[in-house]
Amino acid sequence: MRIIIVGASKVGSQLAVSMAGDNHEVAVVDKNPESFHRLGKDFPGRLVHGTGIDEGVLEEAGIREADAVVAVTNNVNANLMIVQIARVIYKVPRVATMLPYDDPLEQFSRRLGIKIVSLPRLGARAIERCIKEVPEKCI
Amino acid sequence: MYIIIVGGGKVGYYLTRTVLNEGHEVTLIEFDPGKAAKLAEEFGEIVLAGDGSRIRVLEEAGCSRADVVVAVTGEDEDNLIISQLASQRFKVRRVIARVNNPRNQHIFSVLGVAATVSSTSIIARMIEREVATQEMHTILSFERGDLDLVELDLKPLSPAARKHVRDIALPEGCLLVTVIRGGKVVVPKGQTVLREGDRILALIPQDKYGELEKTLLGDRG
Repeated sequence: MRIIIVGASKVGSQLAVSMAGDNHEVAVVDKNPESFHRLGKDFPGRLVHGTGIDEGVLEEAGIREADAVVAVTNNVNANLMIVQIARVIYKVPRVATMLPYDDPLEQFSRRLGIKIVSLPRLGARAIERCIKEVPEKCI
Repeated sequence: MYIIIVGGGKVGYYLTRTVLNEGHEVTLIEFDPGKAAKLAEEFGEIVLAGDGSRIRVLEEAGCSRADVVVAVTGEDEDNLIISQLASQRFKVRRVIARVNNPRNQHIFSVLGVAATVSSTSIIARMIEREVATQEMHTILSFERGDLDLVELDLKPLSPAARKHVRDIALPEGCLLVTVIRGGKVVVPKGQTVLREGDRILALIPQDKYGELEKTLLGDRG
């Protein structure tokens, strides 16, 4: 799978390393080149310096051929803009982002076929499971 | 009218002052609490401190009864999300977004935010017109600047003078609206012959200034 990850944030870099380890073709975009250090020295994917809300930058990262685009910068609205550009303009089949709050914002983004991970829900569910069911599976 | 302005920077500040003076009801939403407090010193309780791209903040501002929402923060991504929420969730009829990077205007329009204002492109366009055409004048801009009504006077050496309207190959999207001849209006038809001294009013897409000038007035110099 060809995947573009916008934002070498903590989540973004971990995802990038993990996907690249699974032999996926990964390109990471970040407007701050210093963030790329989180990927480690041996990261096999491509690094693209630039802002993810710019079509030129996304094209340089290969969005025209991408199978998936993930927006995980530290800027919520930029993430929402990036996933919409990917889905609506470039028709990327799989597009995902995450939200640090549980606003009904999901509703309108879901209409476009954008997957949104809600951090409060995800965290609450994971913790609940830790406590109730399978404590050994807690990370 | 009830107008919600999101973003209390320079644009938001002067806009708030202007529309208040015109007697409209306004709420100004500013993210930065310090800035919001300062704005409140001048504008009073119409200032709301909060993130205007969050649904509950827009709800608090009474977004569903707003006639107009204007998103004029300094960040395009914020202006996009604010505008989308206002129009798609709160069904606000008139939503206007400031676009800082003119390249984003296209993205906004594809993503459903048609009414965008980019001061950069407006100024660039004005300069372009001034440089490109000294003989054609813009009278009115429609479609937020994509379509202009222009006027020009035919000179003796203009290639369009003494020609039938039907024989003039106008650039694509251009329309001769009217010809003013000796103070009288002539509706241009195919058989109308243009003359020197005719004042022509035409509707043109804003990227056709150079082409239309060449067609009607010829190369300068």
